[in-house]
Amino acid sequence: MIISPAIVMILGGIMIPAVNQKARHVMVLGLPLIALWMIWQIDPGTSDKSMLAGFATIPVFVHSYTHIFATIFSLAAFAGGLFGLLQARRTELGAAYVYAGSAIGVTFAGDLLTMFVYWEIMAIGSLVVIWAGRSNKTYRAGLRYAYMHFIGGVILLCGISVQILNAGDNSIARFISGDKDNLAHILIMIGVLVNIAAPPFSAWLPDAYPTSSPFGGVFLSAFTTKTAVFVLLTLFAGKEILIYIGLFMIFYGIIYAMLENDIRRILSYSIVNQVGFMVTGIGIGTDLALAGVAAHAFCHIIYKALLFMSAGSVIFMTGHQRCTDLGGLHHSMRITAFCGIVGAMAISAFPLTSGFVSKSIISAAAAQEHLAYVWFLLLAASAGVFLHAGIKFPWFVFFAKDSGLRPKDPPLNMKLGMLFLVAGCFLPAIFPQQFYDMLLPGKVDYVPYTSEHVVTQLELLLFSGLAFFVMLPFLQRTITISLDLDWFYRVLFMKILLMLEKAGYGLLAVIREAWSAIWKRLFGGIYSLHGPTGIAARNWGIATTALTTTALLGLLLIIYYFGR
Amino acid sequence: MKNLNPKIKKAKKLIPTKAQKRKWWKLLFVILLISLALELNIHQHASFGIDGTRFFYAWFGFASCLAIIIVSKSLGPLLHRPENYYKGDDQ
Repeated sequence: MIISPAIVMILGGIMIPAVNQKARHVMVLGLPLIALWMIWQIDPGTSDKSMLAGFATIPVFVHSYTHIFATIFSLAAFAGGLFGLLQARRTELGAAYVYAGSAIGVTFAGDLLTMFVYWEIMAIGSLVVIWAGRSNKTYRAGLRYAYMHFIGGVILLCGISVQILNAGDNSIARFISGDKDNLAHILIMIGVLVNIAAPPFSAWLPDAYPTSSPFGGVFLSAFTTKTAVFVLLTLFAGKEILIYIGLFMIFYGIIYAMLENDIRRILSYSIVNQVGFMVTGIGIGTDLALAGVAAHAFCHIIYKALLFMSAGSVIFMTGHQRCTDLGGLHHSMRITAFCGIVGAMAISAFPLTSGFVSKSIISAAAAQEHLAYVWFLLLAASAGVFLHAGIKFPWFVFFAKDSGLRPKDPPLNMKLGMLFLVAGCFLPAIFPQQFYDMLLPGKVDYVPYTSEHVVTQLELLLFSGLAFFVMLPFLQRTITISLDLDWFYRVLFMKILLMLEKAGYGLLAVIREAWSAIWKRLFGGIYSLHGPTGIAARNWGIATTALTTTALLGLLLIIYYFGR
Repeated sequence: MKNLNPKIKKAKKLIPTKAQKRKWWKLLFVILLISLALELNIHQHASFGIDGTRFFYAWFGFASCLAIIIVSKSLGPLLHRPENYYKGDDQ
């Protein structure tokens, strides 16, 4: 029996709010490292079976991409824990570790039921993290988040049930080798796509994440969508429809991020955009594409968490999170600005930053498969990423105008958390071959640093930058929000409900009236006779009663006499 | 949480002057020219034909960004709403 690293994180996370401050600090910094050590003690190919409620389950199983995802999840938990060590609420930190632990649990799940259990723990953990933002807005956004995820969970469980009924077995290996395009596949895929923020389920992400606390956002950006990427990568590699879903997510993310004013909503839409790259890669499905997806997920978690930390520091120190309220902060928040710019460069895939050695693998895989339109769209999207996350975010927060705010850099542990991830943005890019060999299964046949790739990428990004500054007068922020798909359930659905309620009451009145008319016609005669004022309901005098009774008895006597 | 220091605010203007702006623009153009010049020295492999042509990445990047800005800008009036659009959130 092998103990899953997930159990350590989850149990530790539950204990964190209960222990004293010193023990809490040790646990917050120590647990992810213990989990990381445990992850690497479990060799590829390990499969540990046990029974749970009559089902054979495999709580510890090493898939091709388990190690890279589990590693980055534990590192992200460590960075987030360090960032919020002294400032975040303890329930928030505890819930975040349960959340991170269950994400690790999903990567080690060898069967669908184990996966489902961790999947749901993740939904609950993340909900507590969102609610740690503690405002009415957060509460409501969290509820919408919970509805969406529990509905997704139910669909997922339906799919798993169908799979167990069909195959008689809940192992993931059996699911992958089984026939495709049956009901189980469709339901499970929908359940996973809810968590991956694919359309039409995309709105929960930019709705909920920006309402979290400055620390919660860091954890939220890392786990839910990337766990779903892992599951999609493991279960549905090479499914063509994912290419189109991914491309849609990419451009949907860019366009909405361009429209946004709230800095963490910009970053949230940017998550949808980046996950779109991964979904596209999963749809392409070749070994190179899948390696690219895993590498990109790894790098993405680092730079997106860094961007969320940078934004979180700004929010923590100023209390503002709208572009229109911010600007010119580079002068007083030098380290935060530096970290934000590094994150922005990494997401834009500048040479010597992590995006350069990961995102390009997916593009290379598209070129290898001669998917021309995919390749050109990915290239256009790479330019677009630089536009909305690479320049827009740092420009409006740290430069653009003088907002009059002069906040200092955040406290030491928050700075250390950011600098840890800054190193994470550079290391994979400086040692790409070691990065591929250590974390990816099999040999990756890709060389990122060719003079051609470096020069063309620089050219692409620099001219995108030119476009931004040329068009800057048109990009001034307005104090607005943008309608997204959540409009359907926040407004349209409510309007329909209210209309139905009104129509229902109207209908009820009509039915009542009709019924009383029918009632009168059918039973009006009887009513007039036997009703409260009818003849039969009148009071009788004693004499009349005695006379009638005697008459009836006499009648009975006569009938009895003749009838015998 | 707010660390507003009015002293620094008066002491240092953060908005660049016109001359400074012009300097930044010049620097940007020099960098752009350098990147174009670098391309002349490398041999490009084309996967789809057009991507091997001269300065493809430059104009493609510029045009994509322009298209994205125009599309998102034109969607703005359709999608933008005042911040208190969703009632009940700020109670």
